[in-house]
Amino acid sequence: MKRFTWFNATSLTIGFAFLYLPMIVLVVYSFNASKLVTVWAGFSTQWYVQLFTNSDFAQSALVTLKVGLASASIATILGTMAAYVMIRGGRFFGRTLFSGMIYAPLVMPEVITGLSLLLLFIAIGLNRDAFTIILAHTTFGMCYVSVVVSARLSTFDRSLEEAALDLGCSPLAAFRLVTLPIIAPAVVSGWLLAFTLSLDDLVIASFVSGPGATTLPIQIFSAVRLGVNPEINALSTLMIAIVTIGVVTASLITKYTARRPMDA
Amino acid sequence: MIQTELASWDDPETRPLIEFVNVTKRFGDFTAIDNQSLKIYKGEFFALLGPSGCGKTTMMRMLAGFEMPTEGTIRIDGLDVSTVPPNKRAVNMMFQSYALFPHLSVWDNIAFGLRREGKSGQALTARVEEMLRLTRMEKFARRKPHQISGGQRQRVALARSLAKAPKLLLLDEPLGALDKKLRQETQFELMDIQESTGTTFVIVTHDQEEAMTVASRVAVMDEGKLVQVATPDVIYEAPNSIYVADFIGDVSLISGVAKSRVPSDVAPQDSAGGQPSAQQQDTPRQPQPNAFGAWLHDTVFEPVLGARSKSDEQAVEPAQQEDTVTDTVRELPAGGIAIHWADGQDPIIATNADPCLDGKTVNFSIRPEKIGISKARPDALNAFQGKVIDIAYLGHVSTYHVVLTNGLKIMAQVSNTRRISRRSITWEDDVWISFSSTAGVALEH
Repeated sequence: MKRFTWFNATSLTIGFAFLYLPMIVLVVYSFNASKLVTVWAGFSTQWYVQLFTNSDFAQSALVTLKVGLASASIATILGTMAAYVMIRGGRFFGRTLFSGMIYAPLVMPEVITGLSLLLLFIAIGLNRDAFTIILAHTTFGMCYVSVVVSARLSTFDRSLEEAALDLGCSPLAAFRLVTLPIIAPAVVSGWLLAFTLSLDDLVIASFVSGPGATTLPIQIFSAVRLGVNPEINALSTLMIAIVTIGVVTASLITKYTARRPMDA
Repeated sequence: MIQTELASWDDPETRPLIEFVNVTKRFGDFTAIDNQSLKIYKGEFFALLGPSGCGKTTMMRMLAGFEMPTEGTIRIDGLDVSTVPPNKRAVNMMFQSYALFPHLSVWDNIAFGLRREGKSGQALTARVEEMLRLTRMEKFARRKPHQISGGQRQRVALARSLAKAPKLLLLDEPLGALDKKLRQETQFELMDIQESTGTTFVIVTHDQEEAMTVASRVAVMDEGKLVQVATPDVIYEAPNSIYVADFIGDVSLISGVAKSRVPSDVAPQDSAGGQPSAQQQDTPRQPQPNAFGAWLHDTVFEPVLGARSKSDEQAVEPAQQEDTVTDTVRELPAGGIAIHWADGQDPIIATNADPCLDGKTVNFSIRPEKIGISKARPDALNAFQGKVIDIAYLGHVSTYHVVLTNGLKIMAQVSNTRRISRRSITWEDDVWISFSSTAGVALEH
């Protein structure tokens, strides 16, 4: 451990201030009694109450949740399958290309992903609603899941699966009884990551959503264009809380499993 | 080795449990197993021994069903299993990494295979408890694999692989992760368990001591070929090639040209160097300084008077011999070959060698413990002069590295029955090494 120095303390403060000061301001003003966002007029939770009675927000929150759950689940299944094939499938033609291509959407600008999905949906004549958002979110969620799961699988002792086969398991039973329980933490944290990203997403969702399906980020974005009000602050505070819980849980699961000796 | 009954591998009537018939395994361009045939019998403790990459693990993985032979067939109990998947074979394997399931307790690990068999309730519990008792792991049944020591994991892995009572148990370097002391104990435990369960064990190891200790038969492998398949004593005493001789234990190799010894012509062809021969038995023994006299001369008088005469007329009194092989000249056996290994040196007499080697270049291979070392010329058939350049003290034995007059290095091992302070031979000493006419093996390749 480094000793305390004024230089360390200052840089730490400045760094974290950059990261978290805007959020702190937002959270503090969500409890403001005044309707003016820049004037502090005492503590109040009235905006939270108002938020829950606003049917527009409730409606879009429901859509967001539905999209998040569905896309994270599909992405987890597909991503795990992709990771399994990449790590366990042995050498097959184009394997390096494929594993590179799995990572590509992670660095692709969201605008391009969104636009290309939009063009695809129009081309195949798919009506844009919650379903298309689920498809779009599955697409990028899957990449994250496969990255997390393949990291776990690559340190997984192959002989565990062989031992299961040797003791009488069919390949499917070996996966279900041995591989899956061992990689489960990675799968769960992949799911949480995909879910969180789906809740956050504005750019892709605004490309592929239709009139009937507005997600919360879209709702907030359009509301802010008419002017910021404390209700938005309250909503944003709730979203920060949910995302924080998701990310912290995912990283705790990863950390806990990394500490456990898996080669035993 | 005295055998009252014919061992199963020597009895042509016995049906083998495992049969490799002309098996070849290739991985791409690489040939891991090159057209090999092998029979392993019921109840054997069979060791596949070789350096890494020799194909021993591939042999085992083909038995377990993780690899399919490219050519040839593998039969277990008479049935062709070449293409049977691992979960359909009455074969279990103990993995090198133990491969214990980290999310299951010791108890559930052992029960895993039994549950897949459909066993449950009383039968399951009874079998798991039995396995826990066999491996003395009862106290740890509820622990997870990461909560027990390496030696305990090894025993759980063994219990798990034995639980289904397989016809054949495969052990892949089972003791590799244990320290030496524990490994030796576990070797005897393995032998006991093998004997009490009657299961056929096939063990893969690169540790020749381990293979010699546990196995009833050993197959020495090199580059995808079985070089020699025999009992440990045959592998050690009568290796069939330089490779086997060199791989198992220490060995000194002396290359030379073989001449067959005609039984009537007991004297070696080249007796110019005063080789102890049949004629010599009538020669009266000459007085020879005793150990003190020799020491006195070597240390005090030598610089003044020159080297002490060690001519062969001065034969050694038997009482003065130390650690020499008692193959006296009188009992010189006939037959075998004489190996001419250096100009101006007596040939090595190997009466156990095949006279058909006549005229060929052979490598005479001899184990260090079969060579005696003494300061005075011993009364042995094969005795050569040299100088001690190195002594490796291992506690129970000492290995002397002796350079012969032509520069050849020979190892001689002596049991340290006395305390080291009383050791009479030390660095830079001129010594005689000697061995009997049946101590070594003449190898053609």
